[in-house]
Amino acid sequence: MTEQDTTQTPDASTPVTSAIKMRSGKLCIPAIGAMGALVPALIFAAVGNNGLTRFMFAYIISYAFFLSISLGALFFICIQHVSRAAWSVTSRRIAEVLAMTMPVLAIAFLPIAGNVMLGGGDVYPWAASHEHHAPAYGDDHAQPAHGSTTDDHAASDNSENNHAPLSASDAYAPDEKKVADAHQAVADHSDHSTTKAKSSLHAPAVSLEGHGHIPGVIDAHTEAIYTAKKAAYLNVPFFIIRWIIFFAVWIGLSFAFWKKSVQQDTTGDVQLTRQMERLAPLGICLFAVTVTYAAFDMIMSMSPAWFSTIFGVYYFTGGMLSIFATLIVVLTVLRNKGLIDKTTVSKEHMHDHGKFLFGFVVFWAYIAFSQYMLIWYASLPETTFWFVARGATTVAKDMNSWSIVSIGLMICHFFIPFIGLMSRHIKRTNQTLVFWAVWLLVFHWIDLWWLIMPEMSVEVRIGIVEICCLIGLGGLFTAAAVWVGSLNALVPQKDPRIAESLAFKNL
Amino acid sequence: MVLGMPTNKPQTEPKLVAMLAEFDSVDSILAASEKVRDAGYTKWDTHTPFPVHGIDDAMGIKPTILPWLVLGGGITGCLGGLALAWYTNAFEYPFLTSGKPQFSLPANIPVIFETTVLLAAFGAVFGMLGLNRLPWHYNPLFKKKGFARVTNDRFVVVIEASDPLFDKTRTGDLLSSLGAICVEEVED
Repeated sequence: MTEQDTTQTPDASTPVTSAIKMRSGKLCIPAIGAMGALVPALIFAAVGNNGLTRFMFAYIISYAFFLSISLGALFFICIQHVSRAAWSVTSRRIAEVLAMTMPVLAIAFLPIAGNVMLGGGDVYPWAASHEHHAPAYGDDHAQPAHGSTTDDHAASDNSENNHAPLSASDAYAPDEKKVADAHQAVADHSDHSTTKAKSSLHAPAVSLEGHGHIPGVIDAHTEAIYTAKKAAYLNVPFFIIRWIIFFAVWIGLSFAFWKKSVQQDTTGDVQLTRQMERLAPLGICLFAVTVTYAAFDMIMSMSPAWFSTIFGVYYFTGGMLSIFATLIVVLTVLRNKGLIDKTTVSKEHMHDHGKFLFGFVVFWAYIAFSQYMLIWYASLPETTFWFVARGATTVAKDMNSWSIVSIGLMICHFFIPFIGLMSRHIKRTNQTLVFWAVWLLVFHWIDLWWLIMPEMSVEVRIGIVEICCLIGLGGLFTAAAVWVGSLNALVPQKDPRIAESLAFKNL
Repeated sequence: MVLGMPTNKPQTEPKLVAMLAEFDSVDSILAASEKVRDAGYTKWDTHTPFPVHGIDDAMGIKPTILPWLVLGGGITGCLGGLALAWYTNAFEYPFLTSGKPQFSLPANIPVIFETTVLLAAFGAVFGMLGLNRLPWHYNPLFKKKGFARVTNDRFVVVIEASDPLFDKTRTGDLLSSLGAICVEEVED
């Protein structure tokens, strides 16, 4: 089990073994090369059915993935300073470097900002300019709003489209008449612009039950009403302002922590640690607010009628899970390459990262289930439709093509890694720990895909566009991290707690 | 007889129950523990004022079975909670709540979660007490003045007389050879 190592307390004044700096060239060039994968992603998306829209959705999935790692790293740093942790000092620099990818991620946000500003509304329906009022992800939910019932049934022959209304009318066959009425009623409104929809806010007739609404399907009209109510928040200028604030906060914090920590490598000034400890609580408060709203903006607002107050925590959880997984993978690579000494970041430190990984597997399940159960229990159509679109149900007839992903996430994002990571021996063996870290990173990406993709497609859709976007943004993220990592030592050199960290042991 | 267990008969004659050796540093007790471990003793223990890193290995203590007790508690709680939810709401007193199925997993998960945590915690607490045979109010070691310093600045090795290798002279010699400050006999 534990090796027979003697408890030598190293002298704080002697430099840590890993004063080695990483040379960036070796990894930076292939990483930058990987960014080229965005080109085939664009091409494949362009020739596909949904063109650029497909690319944007795929891009946002992988963008949210890497942003969550970077945000997780930022929070990890804050927590270590708030708790004045010693165990984590030797791994902290890697988190500081990962958080410093934020400026590059800010640049990578530009396509998303551009999409919003162009006003197509293809990804974010609320961003649609007045001329295209119809939410452009109309290939699923919005279709029934355009035209009569007969058109609907005709259109449903092109397999993919109209899946939702088709299954709904199958499931609620006795209500066919009502459904037809609803479609007719909605069709009456369909040619009007958003302004019209806004004015009809005052018409109590247009409520969810008013026209025999089909449970589980939100039509374009209802969505327009809900969206209009949120217009004070969900509008293009405010969106851009918010994201400027988010990135200002995130870049400011990650730069401050990185800068002070690197400065300490040469000066060894204890005051720098004090400053970071004072900054960290403020950082956590700013982090909590910005991440919550960032998650609302980037992911939740794709379905602007829907709302879940826990959604920000859900995204945060994924970020924390993925930062511990990323730290485990990155530290293992650096240890195996000899860039970080195996006694500097020892089995004991890796074990602790593993414990946190295990903890956040449980926390993810806790949050995911909390979100699901409240909506399931209340069973209000204005919130259930989001889960219905994902087929997250126990009723066989309501399941759809996404059901397998919903159930798969429950099993592969919780049950399997929960049992897999339970044992101490697994967390103390590098190979098994890395296996679960990679497993969880894969399922974190699938989790984000499951959050985002159903807003575009009623059918499970994953292909070369998604994979290329993952590779492309992964290349960008890696290149940024490797470049920042090459500017400094990979382990804090003169942190006042470095000796304590080196001597750290699990009892 | 287990060390320290009270006996019903009043004893007239003090009986040797253990040998005690005092040390004054972490390094010396770690070294001593390794020697005692290698000598093949099984019924012995160390007492230190604070947790000592590496003492488990130095003493050759096998991993505890406590995690398995916790797991057992957790699984019992999980299945028990499931059975409770089914029995109360779907079998004994079927009651329709907000149109949900009478035996509905999402609604039952909070109950199952709580009972799992509760029984896993019971497994941890009572398992730990049971494995350590606690609570245990009397120990002949308490009679020794020197032993009181184990809460301050002394590190103590105790070898019980019930150990098959125990021999008053040889055990005493072994302990003396380890650099102990003093070696004492513990009588009860």
